[in-house]
Amino acid sequence: MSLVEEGGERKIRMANLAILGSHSTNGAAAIHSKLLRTITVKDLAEMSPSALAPRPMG
Amino acid sequence: MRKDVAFACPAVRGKPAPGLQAVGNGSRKLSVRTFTRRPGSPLLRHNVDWNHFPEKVAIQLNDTYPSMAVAELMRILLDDAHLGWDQAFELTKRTLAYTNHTLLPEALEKGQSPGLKTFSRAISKSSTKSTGVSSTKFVFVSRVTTDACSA
Repeated sequence: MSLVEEGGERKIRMANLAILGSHSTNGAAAIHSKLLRTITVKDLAEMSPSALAPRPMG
Repeated sequence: MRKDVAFACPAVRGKPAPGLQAVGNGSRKLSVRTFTRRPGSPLLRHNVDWNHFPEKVAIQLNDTYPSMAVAELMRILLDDAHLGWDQAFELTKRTLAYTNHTLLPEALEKGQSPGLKTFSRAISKSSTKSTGVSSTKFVFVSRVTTDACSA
């Protein structure tokens, strides 16, 4: 969940930064959004459900 | 009300990447490079109360390349507009939205030099001013994480 990847050179996780710094995150398609919410950034989605809530596309 | 809507996307010689269009009434195309590197960026020319900035401007981060806009808008609000941290973070969140294009965790972009150096400088500058704590590169980041966790 951290914005910083530790170990060796510290790096910023740009996706986490974008999610935390914005009010809304969506994927490129409904299924993409669902997978993002349930797998890729599951911890962030649980922390702020409204930011990654399902929403109609287009 | 007129509202500028912009896609922040990877810049190719200062222009938005092909295939991406800005939408909305009175909208302007804007590259992340324009947004992050030009103080006189079109989106920042509104002579408005910063509290109303999110009502005038919406920025869609198209993929992670323009994520730096989070740090840059925070820097502008903290250092140039002299707002408090909480207010600046609230305005930043309301202004920005993000479209993810990558599901594989190992494929997600990690910020590193040379972008990270610029990023770190903005972080150090902002965090030192706003929190008064000694300048460490990642205070901004840990502060954002803390805020988000307590929200």
